[in-house]
Amino acid sequence: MIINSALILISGILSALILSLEDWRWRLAGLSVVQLISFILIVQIWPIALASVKLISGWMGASLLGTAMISGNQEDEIHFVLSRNVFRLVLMMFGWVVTAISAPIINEWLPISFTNLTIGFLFILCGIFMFALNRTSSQILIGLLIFLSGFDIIYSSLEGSALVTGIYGLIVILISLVGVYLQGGFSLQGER
Amino acid sequence: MNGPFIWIIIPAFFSVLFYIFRKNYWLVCLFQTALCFILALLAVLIKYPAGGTPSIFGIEITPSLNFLGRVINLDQSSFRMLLVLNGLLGFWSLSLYIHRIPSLLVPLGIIFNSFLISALAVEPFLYSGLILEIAVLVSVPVMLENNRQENEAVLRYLFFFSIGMVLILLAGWYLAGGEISPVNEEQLIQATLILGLGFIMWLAVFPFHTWIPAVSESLRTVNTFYILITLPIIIFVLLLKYLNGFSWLREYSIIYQALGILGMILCITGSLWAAFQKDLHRTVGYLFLFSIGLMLSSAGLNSILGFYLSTYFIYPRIINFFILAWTIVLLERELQSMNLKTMKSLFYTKPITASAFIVSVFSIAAMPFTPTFPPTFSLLELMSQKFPSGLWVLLFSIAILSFTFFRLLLIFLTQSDYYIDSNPEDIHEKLFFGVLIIILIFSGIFPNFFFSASESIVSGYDFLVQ
Repeated sequence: MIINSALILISGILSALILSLEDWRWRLAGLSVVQLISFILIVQIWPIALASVKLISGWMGASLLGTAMISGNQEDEIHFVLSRNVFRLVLMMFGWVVTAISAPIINEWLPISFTNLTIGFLFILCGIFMFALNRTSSQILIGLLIFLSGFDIIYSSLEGSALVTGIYGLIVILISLVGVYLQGGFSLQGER
Repeated sequence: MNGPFIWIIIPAFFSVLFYIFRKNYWLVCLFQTALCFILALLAVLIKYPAGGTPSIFGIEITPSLNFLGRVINLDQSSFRMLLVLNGLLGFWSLSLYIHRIPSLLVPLGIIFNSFLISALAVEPFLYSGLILEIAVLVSVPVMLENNRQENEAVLRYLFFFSIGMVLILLAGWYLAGGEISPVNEEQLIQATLILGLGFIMWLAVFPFHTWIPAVSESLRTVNTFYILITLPIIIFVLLLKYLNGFSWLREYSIIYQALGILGMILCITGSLWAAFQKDLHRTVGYLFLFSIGLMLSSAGLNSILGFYLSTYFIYPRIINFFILAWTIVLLERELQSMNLKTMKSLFYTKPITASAFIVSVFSIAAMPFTPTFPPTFSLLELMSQKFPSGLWVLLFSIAILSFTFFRLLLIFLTQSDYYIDSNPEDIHEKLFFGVLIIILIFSGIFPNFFFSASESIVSGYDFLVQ
C-alpha cells in the first residue's frame, strides 16, 4: 500500500518534471525512469522474464534515441523561459486533477489495480501533452514512448500475452529507430 | 504449399534481398514489378471452394500458418486484398521504371504490403492493431525519403495511428471478453465508443484528418499517395471483419448509425475543404477523405447491398487516385509548385496529362461513364430509402466537388505565359495516360467485370452478407 502510494506520488512528480525540463538529456532520463516504474508495476502481475522484456526494449529505445541525439546536431542551448515552464507545470497539475477524477470512474469498468490505472493514465496524459507542446521530432517521439508506456501499464494488467509483449517491444524499438532516422543516424538510400 | 508463406513470408524475404541489392535500383525495380505481378496472378488463379481447401491448378494451398501460437489465416477476403495490393504495387513499380523515378517503395513497398495483409489475416483480431502499427512505422521512412526536415506531418500521422492502435487494442480486449461472457448495455456502449474512436483516428475523420493534407503537401507524392490509397482500404476491410466477427457488436444498431454519420462527415469535410485549397496536393489529400467517406456511408446502411456497395468503391478509389498521383508526380518534375495559378494553360501544353487529371477527378465526383458512378448511384438510391437526410448531405458534397472540378477545368483552359515556356509531353507520358484514361472510361461503361471481383472481399463475411 505504502509502496503503491509512493509510486503514484513519484509518477506525478516525474510527469511534471518531464514536461517542464526542456533539456533532452533530462527527458530521456525521465523516459528511462518511466520504463522502470512500468516494470515495477508489471512485475507484480507478470513473471519477471516477461516483464523484463518491456524494461529492456524500453531502455534500448531510450539508448537508441540518446545515441542519435548525441551524434546528431541536437541544439545544446536551452533558453529558459519561466512563464513557459510554469505553464507546463500548471498543465501537468491539471493532468493530475483529471487523473484523480477519472481514475475511480474508469476503474469501475476496467477491472485492474487502481495504482496501475492511475499511473498509466498519468503517463498517457504526459505523453499527449509532450506531443502537443513540442515541435522537434526527438521530443515528440519521447512523448509517444511515454504515452505507450502509460498504456502498457494499463494493458498489461488486462492481457498477459507473450506475443503482444514481443510485438509491443518491437514497436517501441521501431519508434526509436524512426527517431534515429529523423536525426540522420542512418540512411535507407542506395547509390543509384 | 502454404498460403501465408507464399504471399507474406516470401515477399518479405525478397524485400530484404532487394534492399541488399538496392545499388542496382532499376533492376531491382523490374524484379519487384515481376514479383508483384506473379503474386497478384497467383491470387487471381486461386480457387476457394466453400468449406474446402483453396487450390491453384489442383495444387492444394494451406490457407493458415501457425506463428508463436497465433494463426495467420488467409480467407477469401485476404486473397482478394492480396490481388489488390500486389497488383497496385506492381503497376506502381512499373510506372516508377517507365518514368525513371527513384523511390523507397522499391523495395519497402513489398514488406509494407506484407504487414498490411498480416494485419488483415491474423487471428485473433487483437493483434491486427499491433501489426498495422508496424506497417505504419515501416511507411514513415518511405514517406520521409530525402525530406527528413519536413517531419511534422509524418509525426502527426504516427501519433494518431498510435492512439488508434491503443484504442483498438482496448476495444479488442472488450470484444474478446464479450464473446466469453454476456455484456450489458453499458459495456456495449463503452466498447463501441472505444472501437469507434480507434477507427476515427485510423480513418482520419474530422477533426483528426489534418495529417492527410499535410503529408500530401509536404512529402513526395510518389511515396505518400501509395500509402494513402492502400492503408484506409485495409483499415476499412478490417472494420468489416470486426463487424462480422463479433455478434453482439454486429447486432448493435448504433454502430451502423455511427458509421453512416462518420461517412457523411468524411464526405462533407473532404469536399468542402477540397473546394477551398489553392494547392493541388492538398486538394487531392481531401479527396482521399471523400473517397473513404463513401465506403463508410455504404457500410452504415446495414444492408447486404450496402456492404457489397462499400467494396465496389475500392476499385474506383485505386484507379482514380493512381491517375491523380501520377499526373501530379509528372507535373512536379516541371513545375516549381502545385499552386493552381501555375496550372493555367495546362491543356495546351500537356493535353493528355491534363485530360487524365480532369477525367479522374470527375470520376471521384461520380460523373456518368466513370467507375465511381454506378456504386454512387446505387448508394444514393439506397440512401433515399433508408437515410434520406444522408442523401442530401451526399448530394451536396458531390455538387461541391463538381463545382470545384469545373473551376479546375477552367483554370487548365486559361492561357498564360507558361504556355510558351513549357515542354510538351513525351511519347511515354502520352501512351501512359492515354491507356489509363481508356481503362477508366471502359470500367465506367462496363463496370460489372470490376465490381464482381470486388464482391469477394466481403462475400466471405457470412454474417454481414447472408
